[in-house]
Amino acid sequence: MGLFNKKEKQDDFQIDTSKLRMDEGAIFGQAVPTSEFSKDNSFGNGYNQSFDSFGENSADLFKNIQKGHKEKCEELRKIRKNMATTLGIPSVVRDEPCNYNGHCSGTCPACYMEERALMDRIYELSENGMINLMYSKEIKDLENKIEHDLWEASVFEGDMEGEIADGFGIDDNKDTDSTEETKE
Amino acid sequence: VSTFRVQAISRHRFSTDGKGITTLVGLAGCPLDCKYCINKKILHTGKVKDMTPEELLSKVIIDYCYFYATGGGITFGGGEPLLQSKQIIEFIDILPTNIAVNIETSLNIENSSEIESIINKVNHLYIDIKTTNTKVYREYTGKNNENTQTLLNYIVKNNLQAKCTIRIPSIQNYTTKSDIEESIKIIKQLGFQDIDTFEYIIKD
Repeated sequence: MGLFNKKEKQDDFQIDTSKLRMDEGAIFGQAVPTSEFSKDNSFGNGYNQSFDSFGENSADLFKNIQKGHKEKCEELRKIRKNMATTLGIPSVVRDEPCNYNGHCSGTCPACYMEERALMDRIYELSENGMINLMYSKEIKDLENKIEHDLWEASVFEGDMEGEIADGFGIDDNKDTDSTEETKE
Repeated sequence: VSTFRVQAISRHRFSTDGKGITTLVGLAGCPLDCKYCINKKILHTGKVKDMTPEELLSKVIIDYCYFYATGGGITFGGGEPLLQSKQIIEFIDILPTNIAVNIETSLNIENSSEIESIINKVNHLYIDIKTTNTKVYREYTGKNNENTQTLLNYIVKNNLQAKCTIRIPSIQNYTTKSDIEESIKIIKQLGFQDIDTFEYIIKD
């Protein structure tokens, strides 16, 4: 038996989309209102990594990868912001792009804290009957098992043994087909 | 306990492997030996990580809020993910709601009840048929495409074309323009509407 019982899942699941439906249009189409929440974009402190050890010739490569990750960071922030607005808690997500200049893989502990705030709100709405989120407790339990060192990585297994550069695991915002060919 | 053999996991992919934000789970092993395969080196290194379906779920759940918000989810690629069909079924069975599951496959797998079960359970299939020219297919992949044809026929017979995207690549030095046009024609005759044509880019 797994963590989730399939029969219950089939029988019980329903979601009231009139109360909360965060579909693609809702998330990507809305203007993001501002709030008085932190204007301090110094997130990521204590999360600095240096590429110095990779040598000078790698500087441009890392710069390009880093640019992609920063763009990803901002796209994810916008999604979180729209979610937060939809959920009635806009202030839990930063209003402005992160201006942290150190290494970023697209997500970091600061982003993670915002994600958790959103999930807590979803659980709260679920518990209050505002939405019918199947297995909210089980999902929450699973989240408690998350290895927090995964915060740092948009690719968190792909860099095993350094093979990432030769595989689809390279995650620099290229639209690489995972199953087939590419060219550097 | 069955375990996945995972090559890599890539998070936060934007509509490249399915609707919304997806996490790509690359599974090890492939029956084909494609000449331009990007993952060939990885596939043959044996450097994979074993994970039970529950262990995999406990990793990918970290992005649940994005899946929930965008209609995204998990995309299994590889390699050939259908080689690990039993594990994928177990994974789907423990998956919380609002997480889509997509498969990127060549469909070049022996037909079985597990494969048919997966086809019915997943949200979307990205099927790279390479070409319908059997001679060219064999030259490029080292295998014939009878299994692919069989499973495509299963999909057609069960009217599941709408959940499929058929990929028909232009393969330099292998497929001609007429090969591609003929493949598109045959696939359309089978009732598939979503056909993705593109050019393989060759890694030096």
